[in-house]
Amino acid sequence: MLHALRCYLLLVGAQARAQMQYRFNFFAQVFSMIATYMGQFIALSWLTDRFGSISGWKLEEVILFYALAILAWGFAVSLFFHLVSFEDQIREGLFDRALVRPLNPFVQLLAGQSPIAGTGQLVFSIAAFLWATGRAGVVWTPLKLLYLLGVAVGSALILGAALVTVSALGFFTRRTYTFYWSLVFPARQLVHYPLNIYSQVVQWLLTVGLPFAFINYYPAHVLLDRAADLPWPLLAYLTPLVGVVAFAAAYGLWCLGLRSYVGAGS
Amino acid sequence: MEDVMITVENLRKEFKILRRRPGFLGTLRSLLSPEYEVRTAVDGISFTIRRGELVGYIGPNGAGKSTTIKILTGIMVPTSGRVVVDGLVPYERRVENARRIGVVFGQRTQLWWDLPTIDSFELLRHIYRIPAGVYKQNLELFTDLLGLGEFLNTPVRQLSLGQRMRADLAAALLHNPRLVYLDEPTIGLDVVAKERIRRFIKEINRERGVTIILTTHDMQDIEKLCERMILIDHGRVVYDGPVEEVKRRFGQHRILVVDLEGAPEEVSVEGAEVIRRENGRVWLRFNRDEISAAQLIHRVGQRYNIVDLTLEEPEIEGIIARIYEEGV
Ligand SMILES: Nc1ncnc2c1ncn2[C@@H]1O[C@H](COP(=O)(O)OP(=O)(O)OP(=O)(O)O)[C@@H](O)[C@H]1O
Ligand SMILES: [Mg+2]
Repeated sequence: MLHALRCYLLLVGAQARAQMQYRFNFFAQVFSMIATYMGQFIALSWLTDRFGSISGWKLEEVILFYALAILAWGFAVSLFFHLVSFEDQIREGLFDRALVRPLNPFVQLLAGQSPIAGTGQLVFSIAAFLWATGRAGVVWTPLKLLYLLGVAVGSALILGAALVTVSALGFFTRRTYTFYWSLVFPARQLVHYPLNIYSQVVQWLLTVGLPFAFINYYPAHVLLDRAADLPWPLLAYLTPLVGVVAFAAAYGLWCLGLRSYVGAGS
Repeated sequence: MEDVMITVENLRKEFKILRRRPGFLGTLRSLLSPEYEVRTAVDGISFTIRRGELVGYIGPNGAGKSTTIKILTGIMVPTSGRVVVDGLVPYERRVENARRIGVVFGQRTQLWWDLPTIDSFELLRHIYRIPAGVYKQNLELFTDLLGLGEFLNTPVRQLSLGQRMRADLAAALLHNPRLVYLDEPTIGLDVVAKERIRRFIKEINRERGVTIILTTHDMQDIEKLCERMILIDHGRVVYDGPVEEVKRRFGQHRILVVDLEGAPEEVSVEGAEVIRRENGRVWLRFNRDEISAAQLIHRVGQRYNIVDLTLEEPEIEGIIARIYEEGV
């Protein structure tokens, strides 16, 4: 375990050094990301301004959902986003080398990206979050801060589990991008809005299928002191547990997929 | 059985090639009701390799060499058959197996592309937990033998093919593996670079007793390095034995080249086949089990006037080429 952690950090450090050679890309990414979020945010505020509220949520509260979602995404991108491109590694046979080294191949896969790539996203996410909690009138207590920490870790794990699953599907289908763009990405977009605007089916899917509702919708109730409004208030406290369980399940699927790995032709 | 390093029994590997359908729905359908095409890459291979051997594993393109090596290294799980490497089943005990072996895939580097060469060595030192003393000693030795000094601080992507291959060889050996797989370590290299790599391979086999499995398309590699070769074709072993024996077994054909006076119109000699003619010069192929060179020369001499002659011994290169083309 200690060896794995050490190696993970060393490999991530190596990735960071490698990435620094492509600084321009890094800045280009940050700019395009900020532009995208600005666009989404303007659309959101236009909607709520126009209608005053969405399904009983004021603009400030909707912004909080949005901010929690991108906060979680900020962590997940920093740690796991490269899993989406796993099909390239499979196709080019690059993953072979992870299997001939005395270190868990999953750790080697996770270490394939430096958090630098996601730093822009993370900084932006945290800034947006702080601003949004201010506007939403969240009253901070030490207990709530602790709670937020648990939510952040759990959410990052939930999104991480989704991305690990995408990479695991790559073993079976040799495709990963397609699963990200057609499943994970739309589900993320859905939770930018309050869950109760959707039909029961969608609410269930986002709770037990791709459990993204635990990233922002349920926890936001606690931050806004409205947990009692939930059908089961307990839901608001399950995020860390859901994160751990989802991640473990995704890892199991990944190990299963590994057995069918055949690498690239020749 | 103490001196056995590798046992392979009846190894088979089939690739199920997924018929892909386009688009996301296609991918989803492929996932739910997959349609496969089966290609057998390894079709019942068996052999054993003793500790300290340096064996050439050869065969034409697509014969199944790399597939075998990927199973032996633990990268892939075979469809059926038994593989034991140094007492372990490699794909079941991956990490433990990985600690004991070194691998070079000539077609693909194992190094960190964007980082200086030395950084790759440093990372491997941690991954393999190489003791500081061993690391230092090996690095010095390999730097010396392979001339790594000139490019240790150059990013791998800027290395020439020859330099990269030398760096890859060093990287595969830093942790003192007992067994090394070299899959086309001389591919694309010039004569001098090949020679250097051959000398190094020989040295680590002799001095350190490292067992080596070598895959190559260059028969010079085999002739200069290996005593034994395993020849495979279409996923099956067609020959396994001493390299010298191949010449005897598959090289019965020798060629007599004669210059005949007056360039006769028609040339035919019983017991030999005319395979080429250039004016008065004739190439006669004969089977040495059926007729001796002396007998053949005598026969030719009876009919024609020989001005000059040479006898061509079979070259392993040519023999292997013929086996590749015509089968055994
Ligand atoms: N991952 C894979 N998926 C599907 N087919 C594969 C895969 N790997 C190898 N094959 C097929 O298996 C056969 C054997 O391939 P292999 O790479 O073992 O040959 P080889 O002897 O190493 O050839 P070469 O000399 O060209 O390197 C080929 O027909 C190849 O197309
Ligand atoms: Mg090959």
